[in-house]
Amino acid sequence: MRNKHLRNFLITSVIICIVVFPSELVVSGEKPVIASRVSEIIEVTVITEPDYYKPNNTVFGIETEVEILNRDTKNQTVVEDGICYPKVNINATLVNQSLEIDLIAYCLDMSAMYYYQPNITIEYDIMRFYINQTGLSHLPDGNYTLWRYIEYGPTTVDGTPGEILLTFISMNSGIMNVTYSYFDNPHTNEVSLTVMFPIAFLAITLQIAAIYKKRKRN
Amino acid sequence: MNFRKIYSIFLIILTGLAPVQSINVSSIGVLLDGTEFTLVPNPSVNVGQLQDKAYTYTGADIVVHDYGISIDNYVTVVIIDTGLLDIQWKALEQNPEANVDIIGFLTETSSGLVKYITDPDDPYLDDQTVHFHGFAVISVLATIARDVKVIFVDLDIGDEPYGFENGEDKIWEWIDDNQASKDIDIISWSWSIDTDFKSSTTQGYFDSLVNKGVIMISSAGKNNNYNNILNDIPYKYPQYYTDWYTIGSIDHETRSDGSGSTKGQKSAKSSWYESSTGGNHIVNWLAPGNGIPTLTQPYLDPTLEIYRGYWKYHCGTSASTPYLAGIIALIITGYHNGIGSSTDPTVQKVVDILQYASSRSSFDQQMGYGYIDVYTAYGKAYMEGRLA
Repeated sequence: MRNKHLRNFLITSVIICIVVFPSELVVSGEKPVIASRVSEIIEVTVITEPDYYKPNNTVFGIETEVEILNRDTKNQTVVEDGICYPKVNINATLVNQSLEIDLIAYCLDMSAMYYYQPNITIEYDIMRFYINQTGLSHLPDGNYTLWRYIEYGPTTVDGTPGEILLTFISMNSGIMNVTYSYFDNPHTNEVSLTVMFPIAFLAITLQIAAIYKKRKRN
Repeated sequence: MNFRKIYSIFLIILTGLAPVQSINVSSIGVLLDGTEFTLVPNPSVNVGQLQDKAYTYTGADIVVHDYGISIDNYVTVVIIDTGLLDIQWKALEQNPEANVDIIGFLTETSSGLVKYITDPDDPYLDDQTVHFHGFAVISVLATIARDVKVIFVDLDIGDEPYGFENGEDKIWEWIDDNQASKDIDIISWSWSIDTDFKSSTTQGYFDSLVNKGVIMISSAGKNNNYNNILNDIPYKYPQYYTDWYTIGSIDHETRSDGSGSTKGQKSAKSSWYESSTGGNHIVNWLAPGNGIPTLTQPYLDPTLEIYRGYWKYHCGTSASTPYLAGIIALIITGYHNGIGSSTDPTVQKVVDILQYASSRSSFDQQMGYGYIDVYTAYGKAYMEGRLA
C-alpha cells in the first residue's frame, strides 16, 4: 500500500520534472549564455551636419537601445579584439535596387575585456550611414535588419558566438513598421537549481529511508 | 515494479536533468609577462624604471631611466581618442610610476562650438561614456615620455552628447591655429575608420601642420591583414593621407601563450598597407605592441592621497603608436638639449633620425623599417642639435 503511494508520488515528481525543466535543459545545453537584441528603435533621423556631407548621398542616423542578456548567474567575460563602433549592424533589401547602404564604422586598435552581469544590461548605440541618393527625407522603402553581434569567453581566439536576435524595420511608402525579437528564455540557472535541490534531497532521503526499512524488516 | 527500481529510474532522470556545469580545463603552460589583460608585476620597477621587456627591447630604459631624460617644456603631444574622465585625467598626472601633464581637453559642444577645457573637474567630463581607450593610450605615452604635455582631443563615440565627429575639419583647424602657442609637435591617433573623408580642405590642414613641424602618426590597425580589412571593408583613415606615418606592432618577446608571437617579427595583431611605390600608404615603423603596460581602473589611493591606476598588459597598434610618439618626444627633447634652445627639428629631420635608428635598413611591406632603438635615436637627435 505504502509502495503504491510512493510510486504515485514518484510518477508525479517525474512529470513535474519533465514539465518544469525543459527550460533548464535549454539553458544548459542549447542556448548560448549571452544573447543580444535591439530592443528599441529610439529615433531615425536625417543628419544634416556638414561634417558628414558627401555628394549625391543622404546621411541617416538610427539611435537604438540594445539589451544584452546574460543567462548565467555569474558575470560573463567578453573580449573584443579591436573594439568597433557602432556595435549595432544594419543590412537592407531596398525596393530601389540601385540604392546602397554605407555604414560609417570605426575601430579602436586595441583589445578590450569587459563583463556582463547576470540578467539584462541596457546599452545605447547610434549608427550613421550613407544612402547613395540625395535629398531623402526618410528611409527608402524596403526591409532593414538590425542586430548586435557579440561573442563571449576569456579570449577572442575561441570565443563563443552569442545568440543574436534580429530586429526588422519595414518601410512602405515612408511608413515605418518595426518588428522586435524577444529573448525566449531569460531565466538563469539559479532559478532551476533552487527547484532542483529540494526534489533531489527528498528523493535521496526517501530512498535511504526505504532501504533502511527493508533491511530492518529482513 | 518494485520500490527500488522506481527509485533508481527516478534518480537517473534527476541526474540527467541536473544542471550541466562546464569544466574549463586550463592548458598547462607558463604565462609569460606580457600576457594580455594580466597585471604587470612590480610596476614600480617594470614600469617606473622601465625594466619590463617592452622597454628594454628598444633601449627606452637606458634613455628614460638610466639617463633620466624627461620631456622638456617645449614639446606637446596631441592625442585624438575616446573620452577621458576626471579621475583618469588626475591618475595620468599623479600616477607614481609614470605620468604626463594634461594641459587641455578639446571637445565640441552639442551646438557645434569648440571648447577647450583646462580643469579636470569641469562637468563636461562627466558625460563621457567611452573612455578606457584614451586613458590607456596616454598611459603608454607617459611611460616613455615622462612629464610630456598632452592635449586630449575628444571624439564623439556612441551616444555621447558632445565631441568631434569623425573626419571633422574643426579638429585640424584648431590644432593648426594653436600649434605655435601650445608648442604642438606630435599628433597621435590610435584607431581606424572605414570612410576616407576625402577632402582638399583636410589635406590643406595636414600640409600646413607638416610645414609647421608637426609629425602625425597613426596606428596600422589590428586586423592583421593587408589594408586593415574588416568585413571586406578597408579601415584606413587617416592612414589614407600621405602626411600621416603609420605604426605597426612588433613582438618584443616570443610567447608560449598561443598568440603566435615571435620575437623580432611583426605581431599577429598588426595590419599593413601598400608598398612604398604606392606613396606613403605603408607601415613606416613598428613599436612594441604585444603586451604593453597600460593604466587601467583609476582610483584614489587613500594612503598616498593621489589618483593612480593598475598597470595591465594590453595588445594592439593602439599601444604601439603612443609608444612611438613617446620616442619622437624624446628625439625632439634630445634635439633641444643638443642645440641648447627650444628650436624644433623639422618633420624631415625627425624622420631621418627615426630611419637612422630603425632596426631595418630596407623597407618591408609588413614591417616597414622595423622598430626604433631609443638609445641610438636620442643620441642621434642630440648630435643633430649640436651640429645644427
